[in-house]
Amino acid sequence: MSSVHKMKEGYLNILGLAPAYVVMLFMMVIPLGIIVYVSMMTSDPYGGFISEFSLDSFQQILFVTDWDDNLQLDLQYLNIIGRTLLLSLITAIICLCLAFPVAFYIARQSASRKALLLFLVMLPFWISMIVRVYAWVLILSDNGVLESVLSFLGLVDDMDSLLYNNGAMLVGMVYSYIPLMILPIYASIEKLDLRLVEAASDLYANRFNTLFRIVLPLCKPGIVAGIILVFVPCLGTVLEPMLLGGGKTMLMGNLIQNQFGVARNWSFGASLTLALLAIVMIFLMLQALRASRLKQQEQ
Amino acid sequence: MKEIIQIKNMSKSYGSYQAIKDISLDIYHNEFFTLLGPSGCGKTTLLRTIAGFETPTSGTIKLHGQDIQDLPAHKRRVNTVFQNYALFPHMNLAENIDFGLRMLDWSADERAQQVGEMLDLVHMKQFAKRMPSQLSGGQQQRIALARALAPQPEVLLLDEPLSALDHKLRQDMRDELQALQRETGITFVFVTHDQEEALAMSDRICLLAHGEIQQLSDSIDIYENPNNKFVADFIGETNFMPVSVKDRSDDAIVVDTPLGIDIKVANTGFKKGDEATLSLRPEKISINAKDLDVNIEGEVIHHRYMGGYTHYTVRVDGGHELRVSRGNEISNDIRFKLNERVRLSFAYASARVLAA
Ligand SMILES: Nc1ncnc2c1ncn2[C@@H]1O[C@H](COP(=O)(O)OP(=O)(O)OP(=O)(O)O)[C@@H](O)[C@H]1O
Ligand SMILES: [Mg+2]
Repeated sequence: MSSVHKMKEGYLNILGLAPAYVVMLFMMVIPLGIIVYVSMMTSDPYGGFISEFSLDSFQQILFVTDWDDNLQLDLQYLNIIGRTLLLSLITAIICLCLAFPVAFYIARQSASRKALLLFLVMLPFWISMIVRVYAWVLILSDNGVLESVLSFLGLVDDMDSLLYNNGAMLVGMVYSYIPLMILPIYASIEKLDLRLVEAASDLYANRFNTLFRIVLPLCKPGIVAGIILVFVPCLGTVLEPMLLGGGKTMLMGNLIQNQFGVARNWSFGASLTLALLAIVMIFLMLQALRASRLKQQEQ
Repeated sequence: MKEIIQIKNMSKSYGSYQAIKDISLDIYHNEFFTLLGPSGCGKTTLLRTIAGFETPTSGTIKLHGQDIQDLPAHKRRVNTVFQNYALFPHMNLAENIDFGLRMLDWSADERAQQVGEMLDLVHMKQFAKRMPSQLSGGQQQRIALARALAPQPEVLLLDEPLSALDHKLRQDMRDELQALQRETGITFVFVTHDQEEALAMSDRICLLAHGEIQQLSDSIDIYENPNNKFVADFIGETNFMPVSVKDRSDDAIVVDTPLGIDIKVANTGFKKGDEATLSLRPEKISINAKDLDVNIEGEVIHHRYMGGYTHYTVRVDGGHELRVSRGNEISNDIRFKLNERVRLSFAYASARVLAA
């Protein structure tokens, strides 16, 4: 191919990708720029911010200024970050344990049943998230659906409220994000060559060994994708802590939301957002690093 | 000879479709046993019931005299070389071979030694740390073989292991497989739809069609003395002609043929007046050579050069066409031309009379 040709193709490539660049510019780069800008300004107690440079909002994540203008370590926000990470991780693990058998079951069905079951898995996405999370309020609340059913069956008389604690949040988060775990795992099981399972049992592996030495390792890409897809949105989730946690136990998502709402501390909200972003980036980068190292090993 | 596998009255149905119909057969110790047959005849199904991936609908399978039809695959001392090899893609070659040994709880030392020996056996020592995706088809095939042999099974099942290889490699692997079988003394049950492969390698061949055994005997017998038309047709090539029995004595019958002559063949249970089929292999007919029991004349109407030999079609006087093959021993200057008149000869002993 001549070099003129090559150049032309290069231009065409850039032109062809232009819409993607425009979308990225308006949907990612500019909003992120605004957040970075706001985080470095001073909050206006009446809402919004004053264009006056200050890094106080970053400091606020870890320290408080006492009456004497001394900085003092303050763990309340770090606590929230830690709780968020922990709950998100637990959510991802529970989702994994529940989603794997479901995905396996779906992958073993006939083509038409597969389509139906996958449609059912995705169906909740068609309904507003608020409605779906609120449904759990009705189920778990005092004299709610669950208590009524259990007491009707004579299993309990009077239950403590199931709402407004970490457990309730966890239930809501698992419920909300489990489809994001099922789908990638399903895709990797679907690709799994069942003859390898036969080969394993031919070579004296019982079910346990076949699962842990053959099936799980071969589904790893789907499992990793599922964990990331569940873990990352959990870090920023707002509705579950608000509705099921009762606003008492904060997670990062509603902490940030509060800063832009009732707390009227936009700069702090923006710097918390950046902190969350940094955490997410670290996890994604670790994963990318691992993947590229694996690829290198294979070569 | 001692039986290692005994299959009795085994049937296997998928819904209303009967893939295996009431098969009984014995496989002996240290034997190279081949299941041969056209596509869809049930070879894989039979093999999978022995391996334990399918349970027979009825009948029994014994391994060493012990009923195994209800034993799960991972408890049978039987290993399989899969048609597409089914190597574990996330393990290197040594780990693939090691897998079965690990599952059988061999000690680390024994495992390391056995893996090394197996890699040597298939000449793949230098590739131990490679991943399966980095191998050619032939190399994958060797590793699949090594992996299946490593746990020292009583029986090795091979489902068309050579079918994905090119012709030359396939012929080399034939010799290697056969040598391997002799060396290890393990019973091989080998599935193929390639009759040439079956003839070349097997101690005994079981020819299947439509889920039923057509004939079970050694290579020479199955080729020279086919049980029926299907066997004669499937193994090698042959000329069929309709005949009727004119006369019979205790050990021989005389049939009249469309070649315009009568042929005397061994009696295989026919009565006077029976309609039958005569089978005559192309290579048993010689052209312009010394006289034999039957000598007839005809005209070459077609020839096809095949390298080692040439196929001729000769229309004998009276109209019937015979296929004749002749080795190209000297050079091609004695080939018979189109429309050339030739004399064909064959011995009575070469002809076989089969049920019509
Ligand atoms: N799981 C199954 N469900 C339904 N029918 C099956 C199943 N497995 C095999 N069969 C049918 O059983 C018959 C025998 O199949 P089998 O795979 O044993 O043939 P084969 O002799 O190995 O053929 P090939 O040489 O093509 O591999 C076929 O007609 C096939 O359609
Ligand atoms: Mg088959």
